[in-house]
This record gives sequence, C-alpha cells and structure tokens, in this order.
Amino acid sequence: MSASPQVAAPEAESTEPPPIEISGLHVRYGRRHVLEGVSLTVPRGSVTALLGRNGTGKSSLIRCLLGEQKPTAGAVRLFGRDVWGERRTLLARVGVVPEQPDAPPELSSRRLAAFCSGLYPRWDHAAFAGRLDRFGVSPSQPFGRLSKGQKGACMLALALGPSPELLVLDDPTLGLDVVARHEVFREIIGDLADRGTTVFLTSHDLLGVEGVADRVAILKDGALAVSEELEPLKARFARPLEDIFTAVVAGNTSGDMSKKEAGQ
Amino acid sequence: MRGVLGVASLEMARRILLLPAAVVVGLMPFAVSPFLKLPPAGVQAMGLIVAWILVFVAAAILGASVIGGDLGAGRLSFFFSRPLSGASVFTGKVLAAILLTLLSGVLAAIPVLSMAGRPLRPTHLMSVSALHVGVALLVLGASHFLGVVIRARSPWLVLDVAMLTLSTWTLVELVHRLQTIGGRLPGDEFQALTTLAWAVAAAFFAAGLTQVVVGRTDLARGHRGASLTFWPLFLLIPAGLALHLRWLEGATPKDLTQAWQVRPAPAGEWVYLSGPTRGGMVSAFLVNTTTGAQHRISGGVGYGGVGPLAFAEEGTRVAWLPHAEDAAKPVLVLSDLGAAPLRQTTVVLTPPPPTSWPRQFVLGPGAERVLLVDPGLSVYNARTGGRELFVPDGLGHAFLAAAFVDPGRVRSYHAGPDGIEILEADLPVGRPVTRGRVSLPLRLEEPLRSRGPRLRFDRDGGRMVVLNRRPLRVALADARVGGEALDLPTSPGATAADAAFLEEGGIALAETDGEGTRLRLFTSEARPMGVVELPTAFDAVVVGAEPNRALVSLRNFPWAVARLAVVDTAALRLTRIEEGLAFTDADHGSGSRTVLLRGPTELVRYDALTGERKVLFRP
Repeated sequence: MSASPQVAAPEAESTEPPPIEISGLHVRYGRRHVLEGVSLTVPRGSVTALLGRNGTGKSSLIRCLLGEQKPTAGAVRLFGRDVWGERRTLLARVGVVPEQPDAPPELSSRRLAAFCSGLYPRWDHAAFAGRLDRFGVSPSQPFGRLSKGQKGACMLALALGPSPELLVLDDPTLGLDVVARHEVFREIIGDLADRGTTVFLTSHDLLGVEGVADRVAILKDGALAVSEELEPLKARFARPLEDIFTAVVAGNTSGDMSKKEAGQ
Repeated sequence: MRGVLGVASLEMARRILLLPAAVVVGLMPFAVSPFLKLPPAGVQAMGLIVAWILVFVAAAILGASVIGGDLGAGRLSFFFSRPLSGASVFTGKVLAAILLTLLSGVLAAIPVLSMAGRPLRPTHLMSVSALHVGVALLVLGASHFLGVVIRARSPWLVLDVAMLTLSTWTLVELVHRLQTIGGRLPGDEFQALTTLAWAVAAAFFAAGLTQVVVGRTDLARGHRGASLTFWPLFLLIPAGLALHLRWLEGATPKDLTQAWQVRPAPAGEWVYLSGPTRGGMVSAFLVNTTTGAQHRISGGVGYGGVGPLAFAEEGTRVAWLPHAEDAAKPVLVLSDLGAAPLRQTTVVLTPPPPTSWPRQFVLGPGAERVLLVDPGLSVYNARTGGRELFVPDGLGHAFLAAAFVDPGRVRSYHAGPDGIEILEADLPVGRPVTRGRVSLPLRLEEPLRSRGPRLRFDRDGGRMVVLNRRPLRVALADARVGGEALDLPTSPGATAADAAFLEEGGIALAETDGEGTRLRLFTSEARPMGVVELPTAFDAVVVGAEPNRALVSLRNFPWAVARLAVVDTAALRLTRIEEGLAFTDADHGSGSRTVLLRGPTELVRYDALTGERKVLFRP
C-alpha cells in the first residue's frame, strides 16, 4: 500500500458529503411551476455555474439553496445537512453574494464588516480590508452611496470575509462594466481556486463563466437540461459555452449541432 | 443572543439620526412658546404631548419599516444569507425599534422636563404608565403586521379582512352587551386596557416572529404565517370577553356582596333584590323565598339593577322601567312570575314619561296599567305602552301621590301651598275631575323626593296621613273627598316624624326630638291613645303593622346597624328589638311580609307577631 496516501485521500474525500446536494427540487408559485424535479450535486472544490434564461428559476434555486425559501418538494442539502432546518449553522460555512446588493444602505463597509465579523467563527479583517482597497471601495462610505460595481465588490468582500468553504454567487456581475466583471472573476479564480473553496454561481456572463467554471448546469423550463463538467461538454459540442447554452435552451442537449443552431 | 444584539445594534446604527431629531423635536415647544405666549407649565405640557406623539409616530414608522421595509426592498436576505436564525433577525430588529421608539420619547421630553425651576425628577419618567408603553408597542406591532400585509398582497389578505370584520363585530357586540348589563372588565378599567394593549401587542409580535421565522424572505409565506398566528391569538380576546360575560351573567342571588334594594311583594313569596355581584356588577333578581325559584332581570343599559319596580297586589306580576338604551324609547317590562317559564313582555312607553326614575311607580290591578308620578302624573297602558293620561304639575303645585281606585280609575293628590287637591280620572280617556280638597298649608321644598310632604294611606285608601317635613306637621285627612285635616300632635322639639295606619285603624306616629325617640299612638279619630318610648334613633320610620303590632325601623346613621322595634299597640309597650334593616311592601306596610336585611346580605323573613325568623338566604 505504498500509494495509500494518494489513494486514501480521494476515498476520505468521497466519504464527506458534497457541499451542495439538491434532489427532486420543486418550486411552485401558485399554479406556476418554476422548478420541477431539479437534482444537482456540486463536488467539493469545484466552480459550478448554473445557467439559464431569465425566469427559469435560478434565483428560486439559490433562495432554496440558502434556506431562505422552503421548496414545494424535494431536498436541498449543504454539507450533507438539510439547509431549511439547519440554515443558521450551515451558513457559517457559506459566503453569499446576492444578485442585488442587499446590504443596509445607511451603513459603511466598515460597519457592515463589524457586524458580519461577529457572526462567523472566523473573519479575515486584513483580507477584507485588502479587497476593499483593491476594488477601490472606501470603508467609511455608506453602502448606499457606492457605485454599483463598488457595491458588488463590497458584497464579495463581505462574502469572502469569513473564508467560506462554499461561495454562492447569484449573478455577481449583473450590471457591471467589463472591467468590474473581470475583477470579480479574477478574484474568484485567483483567491478561491487555490484555497479549494467550492463556488456555485449563476451568471449571464457566459464568457466570464467559461473562464472560471469547471462544471456547468443549464436550466431549461424549470428542469435541468445539462449538468456536467465544462471541458467534456465543450468537447461534445465542439463549441464555446455561449453556443452550447444557445443550443441547449433551444432543445439540443446531445451536442449534435447544425450550423443554424451554432449560429453560423 | 450575540446575533440578536448584533442585529439590534446594526438597526440602531441605521436609524441613529432619529435620536438627535427627537432632541430637536423636544426643543420645539421652546421655539413656539414666545409666539403662543405659553407659561412654563404650558411649555412643559406641550413638550410632553409632543414627546408622546413622537413616540407613537416613531413606533408606527419603525414598526412598518424595520422588517417590512427591508423585506419589500429585498434587503432582508442580507440577514438571511448570514448565520442568523429568523428569531434572532426578528428579535434584534424589533428590539432596536422598541429602544429607538422609547429613547426618542425620552430625548424629546428631556428639554421640557429640565426647564429651569422644574428640574427633571425620576418621578417624571416613572409616571410613564404601562398603558402608554403598551399602546406604543401595540402601534409598533400593528404597523409591522400591516406593513407585511400591504407589501405581500397575498390571497391571505382575504382572511385578514374577514377576520378583522368578524372580530370587530364580535368585540363591538360583546362590549355593547357588557355595557348593557352594567358589567365591567376584570380589574379596574386602566388595568384592563393596559392588559389588552400588551396582549394585542404580544399577539402582533408573535405574528411577526412567525412571519420572519417561517416566511424568511418569502413575503407571501410570511404573511400566511403571520395571519395564521395573529388571528387565533387575537380571537382569544373576544373569547375571553365572552367567557367573562357568561360568568357575569351567571350571577345568582348567592353572589350578592351587598343587598342595595330589597322589596317583598305585597302578597305571595316573591322578593326583589339587587346589589353588586360578580365582578362588582350590579344585578337584580326576583326570588321566590319558598320555592327558591329565581330570575335575574335586566336593568337595561349600563346598570345591572333595575329602576323603579312595582309588584301588583296579588304579588305574582311585576313591572319595572329598565334604563333605556335609547332615551327617546323608554320601555316598560312586565313579568308574570306565576307563569312557567317566566313570561316577560316589553313595550315602548309612548310618548316617553318626563323622567325615567319617578318618585312613585305603581302597577295597577290586573297589571293593566302603570302610573308614574314626577313631575306630573302619567298613566300608561301596560300592554301597549300607550299613554292614557298625563296631567302636568301646575305652577307651584306638584303631584305628591297617586293610586288606582280600580283598574279603570286613578286618584291623585296635587299639592300646593294651601293644601291638597284630590283628583280622579277615568281611564283610558277620562279627564281629571276634582273630588275634594284638604286644607293644610304645605311646603313644597325641592327635592320633593327627600324634602317634600309625604302621604301615607290606610289599606283601602280611604284615609291618609299627611306629613309636612318643614315645619314638621302631621295630620289625618280623608283621602277620598278631603276636608279639614286633623292634626296629630307631635313633640314641640321633634325634628323628624313618620306615621302609618295600624291594622285596627289607629295611627302610629314615630318621632325623634332632643330627648329621645317615641311612638305616639292615636285612635282612628286622631285621639291620643298613649306613648311608647323607643331606643333613640335619628331616623324612625313606621314600616309596617300587624294586628296589635306596629313595626318601627330605627337608624342612627346610614352606616349604623339598623334595628326593628316591635311595639304592642294594645299593651302600649315595646315587645321586641330585632337587628336588621326592615323592608316591607312599601305601599301598605304589611308586617307579615317584612324582610330583614342583617349584615350586608343575610335576608330573613320576620314574623312580627311571633318573632319567628326564617333565613331566606345567606350568600
């Protein structure tokens, strides 16, 4: 068993529950079914992108994932535990960047960090300050007076402050200019990939996603049409992610792309 | 706890500008006082009013915004994407809102409470009542609930509207019922309102907690949780009120803590009783002292006892005038105690009598008519409520008494300074005709009820004793045709007197002067028969007569123990003294119907001839 360290490690990892495990998720608003039987597992250390057109249920899935919303049916587990029942404990290991920056507008980034730092078992003040500095966000400026990009950056800094094991980003680049988007993705790649933090993000910025994600899931009409690693997917379709996404939402999940579907 | 405090401090930091604003508001009375020329006390009063207004306004704004505002703006997820329980989020936010609300009031009040010459004292803050704080919390909780309901616009709004309508209607009905029976809320009014404010506030906070814990960032789900929590809790209030009402209305004579009114029927075994019962509510009862049958009777709006009540001669029919809910529609209640179950009819008196509490109220033979004296004479048909006769008082004249000669004729005594005019009228359409006059100077001193002349009649109404109180004069007169009155001499120093007819036709006159109290006895022709000395009493009233017996109620002061003296009118001696306040049939003073009230509630039927006592009940 000379190779036992290398063999044992994956075995040990495999016994730990995945950071995200969604099974048979249904979400319904009145008579409208938004998510129907979505099952998805996000491996530890991966960067998984959840893609889909507007209104396909991405935000509902995120809310269920964070225990903000109770699914109509199905189970959502974080680190193997039911998030609806144990949200408070589980979220100590999760950093969240919402689609709309939702911090209280009256308070400064410094005050927000002071609040958040009291809630988590650990808080990296230096890293938080460094990120604000890097993003050009004044720590004493009220959150409501920051630019949209600065707000997003502040939210990302707050999400990363506790050094989370799982980072959930709900369309973090929405409304950001090219430079700001680049900064966000560079942060994800540069800071998190090395630490083995699991990242789960939704985005419409397919180019950015293609640069950071190693797994992709595509929602279509409330169901998961695709969920696999990015590279084999790209190989199967032999197209960039944007074309793949277009094909999948058009109904092609096999990778057999005609010129028309590929947009050529 | 760390989460709660963290959220609370964050929320306070977000709204910290409210506090300096409160100080500015607190200075406003000083700024406007030169224009309004307010004295220092006025400035202080204005400042305190402004402070309280600020508290309630702050409670309303903070209540609506501290959670609802974030929820509506999508910012509540900031808290729910952190390791914070829903309970911590709610408690922290509400705690901050409460602290800010109360602090803003204190800060606004400090400037006026610190005025020169009127320094701030701890008692100023102590005077903040639990009711004020309870109402502020209620406003805060209610505005939070409303904020969620309005923002959610979910189908659960239908439930809210339906429950609001139902509970409001139920509460109005219950409170109206409570007022009607003269009941009160448990405890005093202030305590009841305070408890109510805190209870409703607690229900709102419980609803808010459920909304945040269960609904989290889902407004519709939170609305459902809040509604399903609030309404069952809120409905406990009408349910509790209904139970309280049921308890009050279940009062029996055994619950009497005091007997305020006791009236035995002229015949039979029925006694009317009223007094405070459960929860201090005044209740009125008709009790059969032989069978134990009892009926709680309604006194009308706002008063549990009844107003004027009269038994018919046969003692099984009784009429009373309840306090009218609508003063323009006073009612007469006629009850047949001989019927099983009790038969009761209510008619509206049309037109209304001049007063709802006349000096005299008589139920006529056969319970066909009632007459009321004060002011003027009114006769109503007891079956229809229609007025059949009304004779107003003349200038300087007043009706002293009236009686039914037979079911269709009424005789009345209209007094003026020169004497009494005896009038008779046939019913239902007759006009009053003068039958005679009694020449006797009288003084009609108001109020007539306590200071005016009194008339006492013999059993068949043929003779009467006239008592003029100031100056004291007692005279015997013919009650049918009048004529000259025969004076019944009293002691020159007598300050009070009362007289009544004896069973044998003679007259018993009780008087009190500086030397004591005595009973003077006269023949039916007003010739003195003898004098019996009685224990000295400030107030001596001849309350009844039996064969060869006169019954005199003796009281020194209203709160002193009353006694009943039984005098042998043949042997001219005091035979017995009984402790207790005596009640007899008021019109004729039949001694065999005497009821003694001993202590606050023990009622004893007393036989003046044998001295036999039968305890009716001892609550």
